[in-house]
Amino acid sequence: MHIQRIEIKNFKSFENANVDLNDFNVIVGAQASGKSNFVEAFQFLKDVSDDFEKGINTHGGPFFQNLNLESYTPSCIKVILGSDDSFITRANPDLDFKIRYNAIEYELCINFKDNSQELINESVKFNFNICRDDEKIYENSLLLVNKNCHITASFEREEKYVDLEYFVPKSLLNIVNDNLSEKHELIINTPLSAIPISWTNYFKSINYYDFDPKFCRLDDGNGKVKLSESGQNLPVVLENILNDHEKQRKYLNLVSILLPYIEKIDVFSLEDNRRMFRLSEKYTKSPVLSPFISDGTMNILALISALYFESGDIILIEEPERNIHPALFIQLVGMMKEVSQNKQVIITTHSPEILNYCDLEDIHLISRDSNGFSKISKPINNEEIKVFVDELGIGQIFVDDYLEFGNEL
Amino acid sequence: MNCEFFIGTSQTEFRNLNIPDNTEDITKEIFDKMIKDIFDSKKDAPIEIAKNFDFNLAIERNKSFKYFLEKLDRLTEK
Repeated sequence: MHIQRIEIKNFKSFENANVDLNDFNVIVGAQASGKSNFVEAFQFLKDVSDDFEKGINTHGGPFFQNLNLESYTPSCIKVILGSDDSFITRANPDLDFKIRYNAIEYELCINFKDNSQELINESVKFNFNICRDDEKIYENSLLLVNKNCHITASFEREEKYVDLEYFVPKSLLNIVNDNLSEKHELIINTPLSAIPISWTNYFKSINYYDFDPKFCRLDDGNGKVKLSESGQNLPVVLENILNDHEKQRKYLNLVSILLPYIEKIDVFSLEDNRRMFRLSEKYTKSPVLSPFISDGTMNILALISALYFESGDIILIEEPERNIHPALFIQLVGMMKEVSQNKQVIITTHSPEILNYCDLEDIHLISRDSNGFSKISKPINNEEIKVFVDELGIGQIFVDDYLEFGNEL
Repeated sequence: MNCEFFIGTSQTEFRNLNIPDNTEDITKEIFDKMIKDIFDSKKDAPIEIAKNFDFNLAIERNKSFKYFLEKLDRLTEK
């Protein structure tokens, strides 16, 4: 499952932006253009899927709305999740019908009144086909709408002549007929056993990283085994990887691509039970303790952990190239592209060298319009640019600020 | 990834892959399919394969590989 499209309205620096996403996405733009705000929209979805109020407060409460817009303009985020084979399930066991979920459209609109949030609209639409022998025989959408914390369900197409009970699973019909009697704050927080897709877990599994090598050197002692945003628990994460023989083998192989001089990594406990680690290098007789490891090495160790060893369907990384030598960028981009075949990867970058190893179709440019709002464009849609890219490379076009050239004409 | 890396690995050493004694007919596509179930990363695979690479076994199992090496040797001799 991956996000095919995201639509953002009145969120941080964005007034209105729609983006079609690929498996691998590279977000570029000038300083303060809105790259991190774009990434924050995904974090916001993750946080509200855990807790509505906490999610809103974490992202600034009423201040995540754009102050240049009128106060009655609601903030909306809509995402369309794409499908894969895991969406298929048996609809009617007796008649061998299968139900195939093609896409899930989720939208959340909120506004603020007297500094407290107000849910304007929350809806989710499951587009599905009923198939027999892989042939589509019926299509419809199940629409769930949240009004005042009561969720109502309906089919988008009302049927007068089709007997839905014949092939639509009873569990779906029950939702529509009975609706959901209990009060729920948000649909995104509500487990729906009738829908055989763990779509809410998708948002919960969004991973965001903004590594700071200085924090990665010594475990922060919170005991979490999931890699934290800044990499503060990297030693614990490494310990878990290295304790598993197969993971250790794979991790050290991948590290050797970028850092061929590293032979071994050991994690050890300090007196206060916090973890540190040391690297055995080909060059030195004694291992190097993590406080003395270079920032670039630390960033690479954290990146490989995040890309290959953390679970989740989507990974967002702020400036993965930080402190890393440009000669390694081709391998770094190659790793991110490889991982994007299994989970969606979104990165921000200021590096022209990184861009030179990316495909133009994966690049999204964020810039400001004449009113100061952030806007997103895809340079590949500008025919004029392609000529220059072939001649000069994407990086040079980016440095010369011509990625938006076609849009300005 | 080159099949030549693969054909030198021994059956017992290398993750229970059923490598035939004659690897002439293993195409790139067959090779990719064989390692797909073993490695989830195409970047990890060649490094692991290289660790188990046996030059003599590779020559024994693949005439084409042997031919190119002989060619190379002749070029080196010149």
